[in-house]
Amino acid sequence: MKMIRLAITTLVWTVIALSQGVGQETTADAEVLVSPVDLLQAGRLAFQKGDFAVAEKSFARFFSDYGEHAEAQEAVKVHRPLYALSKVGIGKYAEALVLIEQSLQQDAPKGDNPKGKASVVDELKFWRGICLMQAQDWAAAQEAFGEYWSDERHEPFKRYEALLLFAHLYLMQGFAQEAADFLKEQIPKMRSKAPDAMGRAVVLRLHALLQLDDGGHRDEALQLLHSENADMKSLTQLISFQFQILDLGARFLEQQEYRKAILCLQRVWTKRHLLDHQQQRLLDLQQREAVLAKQKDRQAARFQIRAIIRRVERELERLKQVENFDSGLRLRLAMAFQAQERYREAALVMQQMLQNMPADEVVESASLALMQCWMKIERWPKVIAAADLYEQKFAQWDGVKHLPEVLFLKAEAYKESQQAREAAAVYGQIAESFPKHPQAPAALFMQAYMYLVQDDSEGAVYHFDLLRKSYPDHALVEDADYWTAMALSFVSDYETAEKKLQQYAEKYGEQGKYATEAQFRLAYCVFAQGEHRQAVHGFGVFIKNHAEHDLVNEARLLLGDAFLAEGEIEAGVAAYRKVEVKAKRFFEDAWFKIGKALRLTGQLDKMTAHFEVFLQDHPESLRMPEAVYWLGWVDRQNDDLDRAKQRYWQVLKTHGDDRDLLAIEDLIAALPKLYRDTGENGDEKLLAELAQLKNLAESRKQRVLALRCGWAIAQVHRGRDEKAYRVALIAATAGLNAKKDPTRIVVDCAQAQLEMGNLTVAEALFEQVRKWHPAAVQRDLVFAGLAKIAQSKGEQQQAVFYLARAERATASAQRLADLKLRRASLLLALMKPGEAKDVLDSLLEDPGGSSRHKALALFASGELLMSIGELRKASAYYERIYVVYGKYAELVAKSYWRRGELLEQMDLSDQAMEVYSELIEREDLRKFEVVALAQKKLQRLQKKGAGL
Amino acid sequence: MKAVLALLLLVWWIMPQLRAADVLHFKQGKKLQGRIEKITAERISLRVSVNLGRGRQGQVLRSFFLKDIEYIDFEVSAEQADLLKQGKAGKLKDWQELWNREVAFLGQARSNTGELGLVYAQVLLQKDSVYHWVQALELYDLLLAKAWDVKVRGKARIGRVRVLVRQGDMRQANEAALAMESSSGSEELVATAQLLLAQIALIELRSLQNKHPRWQQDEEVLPERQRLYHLAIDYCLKPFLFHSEQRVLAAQGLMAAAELYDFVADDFGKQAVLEDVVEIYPDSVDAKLAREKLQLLQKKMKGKNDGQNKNE
Repeated sequence: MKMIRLAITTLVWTVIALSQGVGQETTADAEVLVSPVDLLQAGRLAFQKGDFAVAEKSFARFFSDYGEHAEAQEAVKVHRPLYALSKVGIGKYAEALVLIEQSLQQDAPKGDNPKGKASVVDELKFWRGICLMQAQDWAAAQEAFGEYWSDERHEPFKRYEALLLFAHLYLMQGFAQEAADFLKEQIPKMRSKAPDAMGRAVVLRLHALLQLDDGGHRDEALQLLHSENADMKSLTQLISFQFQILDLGARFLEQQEYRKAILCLQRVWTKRHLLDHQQQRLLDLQQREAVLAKQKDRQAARFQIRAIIRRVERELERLKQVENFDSGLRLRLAMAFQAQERYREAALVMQQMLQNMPADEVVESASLALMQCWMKIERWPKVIAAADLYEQKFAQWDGVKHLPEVLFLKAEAYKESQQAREAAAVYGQIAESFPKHPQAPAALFMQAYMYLVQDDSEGAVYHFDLLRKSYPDHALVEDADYWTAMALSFVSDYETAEKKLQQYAEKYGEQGKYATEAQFRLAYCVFAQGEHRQAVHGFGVFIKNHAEHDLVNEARLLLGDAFLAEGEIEAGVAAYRKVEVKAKRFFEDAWFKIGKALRLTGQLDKMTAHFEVFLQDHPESLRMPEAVYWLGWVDRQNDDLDRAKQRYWQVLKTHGDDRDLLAIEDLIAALPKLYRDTGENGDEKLLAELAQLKNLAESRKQRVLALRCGWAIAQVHRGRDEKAYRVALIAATAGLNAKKDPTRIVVDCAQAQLEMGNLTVAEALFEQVRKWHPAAVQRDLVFAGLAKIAQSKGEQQQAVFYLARAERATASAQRLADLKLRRASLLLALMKPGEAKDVLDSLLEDPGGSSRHKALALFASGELLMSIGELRKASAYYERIYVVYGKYAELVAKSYWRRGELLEQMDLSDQAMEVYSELIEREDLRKFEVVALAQKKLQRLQKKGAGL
Repeated sequence: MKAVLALLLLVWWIMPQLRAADVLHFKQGKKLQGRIEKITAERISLRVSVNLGRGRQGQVLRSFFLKDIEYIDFEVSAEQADLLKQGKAGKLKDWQELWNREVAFLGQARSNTGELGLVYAQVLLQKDSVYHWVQALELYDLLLAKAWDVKVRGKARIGRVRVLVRQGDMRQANEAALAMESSSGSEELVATAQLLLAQIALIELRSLQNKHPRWQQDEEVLPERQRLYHLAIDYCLKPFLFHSEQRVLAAQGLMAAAELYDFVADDFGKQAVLEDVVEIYPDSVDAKLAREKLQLLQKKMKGKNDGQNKNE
């Protein structure tokens, strides 16, 4: 009997497995038997072995041959359950159901069943439910499982199976709500008693809630996820659960409930993590099964484990077959952030995908989205880095789709970060490598435009032309046409630019994208070629047609210029007067041009009144001192020098304490010349008057005015008495407030302190200017000063850093060259000849560089090359100095001398003697020390040559 | 006999000074209970009770090779338990004394010396003197090198970075935190490293903005300011984005991001991360504060909008 029970148990688990898709084949044939005893014995034996096909055959023959015999009725009663279960075993559920029903109705003992028989009834009742399920009689099956569950005498494990099947059958009947509610009630009760079944119940409930799929149920599902999150690891069907979470997240995403979507998606593990976790679980389960297999009295537990193993194996197989699991998951998460315009979060998620995940189509398209997100928050370096990584990662990948778009974004990022050269190169790469891509024309246009940005009009025109030829029908051809004209105009080729603009106007007419601008530019090109009459017409038409356009004030100004050039002064002044105040620069230009017109026409009274109005209305203008100058000029024309001076003082007294009027310093700077021009002792008079005003300002607590007077005193000494100049500035330093006081004065004071060796005070002032006025025009002086201080402290590297910043900040070409020479010299001292050479080369290549600086750069390059043993090259540099830059006598003399020395080192004594001789022979160089040294050298070499 | 008696008396006298009951678990499976008196690099000395016959008990000192011992169950003394209960609030002197007595057990499996060291380091770190910070740093280095427990070593790595931050050595702190972040350590360690990196970037950002209050106008400073700002925010968000199950750290990161958004007056950024805390980590300790901040922010934003509408 025990063996039979074991066989039934085996059957249970085999059929459970079969119902879950794992088949078991039986190949043995029933033997040909004759006697009923033999048939029953064979059936029982086969049943015991789990060979249900043979068992069923044997029992079937017994039932058909002897089932009606009266003497066999007891055997029929006993074996009908086995016969039924054998049929279940081979999937004949309908036939099994009939037998089960017969057994339960006719054979089952009434009243208190003997123990053995109760177990048979238990099995039959369970299998009745299964058979009804197979017959798709959902309601009856559910009732059967309900009955089974409610009778606590049934085998506990199967009761929980029945419970789950009961819930499952709600779903089969389309009652997802009932299933969810039922499971909600049952799950807490199962947690401690049947944890495995509880886990499956959780998965089933989540499934039911997902089937319902409305807002309330999705939230309920989320709640379930919350409550089970901590125990998620222990779920047997973890993978199914995770798939459901992923599904739930996707649904929230569809419903635009992004934060809930994030919550779900963040709870889904990576595929590797899931596989590792479940494979480890599988190993543990297999070990447990192996242990149980040795314990004959624990076979039921063993079969339970085996069922769990099969479920885990099936899930693992399912997961392994899913492609792009991780990338799909992360992309959804990124989308949830992106949809909320949280581009940073989206980009960070996708960046990790690009960095860490293997190449696949999801990662590829995510990479493009990644760059778009970084673009949104203007993180240009990130866009460039992502594009580089993309190129590297997908270089060898066959399915690459988005390379042109990626490159386009990279080029855009370069453009936005003001790296026009790099941008042009990448745009060019797109145009050349992907000429048929929809973005290729735009790339070619932008390449041309980037050349324009780099002042390479020729390159721009060439590429605009290439765009026209390559994509003649593209919309950007119009842009290329207009910008070609602009590029030509930028290099002053106004004649061709005019033609191009005329062509543009003819081709696109008034509907052209740039029709208005082109009209203005056309007039400008005509004006620039000296065709003033035509320009008057052009600007006139433009002003008439576009009175509200941004360019109208510039057009009015140019119209005035054109009239003046034609000698029509009144018309010109009338045009200037129409320039509006809001167009500040053009307005001031127009004002001063009117003043000039009045001057040229000798209307000095009107000119005075004109500039007095300017002074009164626009004291904040940076051109205010210029107005004062012209007022003074009129006074001087009228021999009224006192009146001229008075005007300066009046402005100084009225506005001198206003820190924001930056032009006051310019006004002060003009004072010494004015006083010197008035005759002897001009400086003394000025100093006295300044001292007087300073005292007055101090007594009136006009701090800024007093400071300006102190600075003005220094200006009187400037260039004449450097010590007095510095002393005056140092005196002005006391109480200086770098945040509030005029930056020009603060920087001058800091420089004076530096020159006088007060490094700490100087440094503090420079740092304060850096802190409060980082965009001050004097910032190059600030960095140069800080470099000098760093150098004094022996911090050469820091000095190099400051010098480089000073170079970037300076607007003066001369100062730039000085700074570069200083930096090259420091780099050489820091044993960085390569970097020093680069700096010097940039100086030599600068077309705007002065000849003095070029000569100095050549000499420094010679010294540098000599220091690294490049003697031949160094020699050429020295030679270039005295050939090309003869006017710098001292440098020329030194170059001769250095070249002579070099040639000696190279054992070229004859050539060295020639160089020394040339130096000695030059009369203009005789005053320099090196000439005497050269003479000695020459004598020594001559003696040596003569063998003396 | 007198000598034996004297020895027994001595043992009885020193007994309260020793551990109550430590248990040695030998690799062969045997166990031995006693009081550990000394541990060297190779040997351990255990005082054990012995039966002297006729109901008399004595004590002897026995020595064993450490290599033969699987692990030791250390008895937590009352003094230790008391100090551990006080934690960082304990007196520095008491912690110092306890540490000096316990340090020898640091490498011994199952000893709690590592945990004691971590608390002691925190006690040192909360002092306002460089001298104690240096001590804390040395202590963390020792824990990193010798502690048997990988968790203690992980916490020591974190503590070490905190000391460097406290010392103002941002370069080294940054290097150490970066190494932690790229290590194959636990998610907790990596997420903590990310928060430390955010903290370092934020300190540097604040310092830079203090030094250059008009950084927006400074083309030399602007790129560095932007770099630090983005770095800080990115690191604040990383625990949430990549280690979301480290719920405490993820919520902390979001709160730090909110603070940073506040610093740069980005109301929308702040609102988003505070809502994350409230909705995604409602059970975190930060959720209440996040909810309060969110309410204040919403009021402020509403006020702004109303003002704008009026102006329009």
